[in-house]
Amino acid sequence: MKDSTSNQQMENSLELLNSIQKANPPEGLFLKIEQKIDKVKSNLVPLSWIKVAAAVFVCVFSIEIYVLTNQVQTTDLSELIQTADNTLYDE
Amino acid sequence: MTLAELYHFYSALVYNVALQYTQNKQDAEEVTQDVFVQVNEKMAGFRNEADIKTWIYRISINKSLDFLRARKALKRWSILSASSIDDTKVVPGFSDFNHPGVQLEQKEALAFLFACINQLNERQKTALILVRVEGMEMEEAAKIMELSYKGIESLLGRAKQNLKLIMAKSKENER
Repeated sequence: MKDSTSNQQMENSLELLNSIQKANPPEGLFLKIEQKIDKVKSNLVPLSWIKVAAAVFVCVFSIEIYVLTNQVQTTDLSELIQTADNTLYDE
Repeated sequence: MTLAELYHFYSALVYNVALQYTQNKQDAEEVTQDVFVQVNEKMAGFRNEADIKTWIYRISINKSLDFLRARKALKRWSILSASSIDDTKVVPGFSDFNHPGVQLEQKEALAFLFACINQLNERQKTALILVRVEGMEMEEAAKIMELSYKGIESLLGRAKQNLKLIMAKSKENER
């Protein structure tokens, strides 16, 4: 009984939603939309710029790897460790 | 169709959907702008002209929900230092209520009702807004929400059930 009463109360509350009238969008809203679209467009980085930046990054990265690997090849262990030379001069 | 034509046909629809979610003129205006910016970006790839209304409805719902999520996150961030907040005890957005479609004599009652609806989860809230506020047929609402008829029916049932509890709790807290 109590449940059906509260259901009815809620239905009555929901009936209130039917009284909401449709509102019209404010004047000048389309102009604001066009301005926003222009702003979004001007903030976008062109795809060609992104491609150039990616190409530069790949080049720099490749050069870095090339230099590093070459350094490892030329660095011989014997060059790094100083060997003691105790030979006396023979005068 | 050009953007101007789409705006002419659907701006009222978008604005009213945004109003039902935000219940605030300025916020609805902002959401409407975001919707048409996205429509402008995606309309070139949109081919199915028959479903354009459903498509615009979906964008409007998603943009409204995005806006509310962002606002909620901002509010949470600003009160981070304050003591913990219990959502069930606070009726959020009550003071922001500025719905131009609501008559003055029903403003208080509808502000309370919307404050309770705002506490439902996003899907339940959307079902309720589409069917009860927008006055949409269940089939159309189901299509927009990508649900079956049974699915929207049970979602609406759960929404009403939860709304009943929220309203009872809010009234108790008011006393």
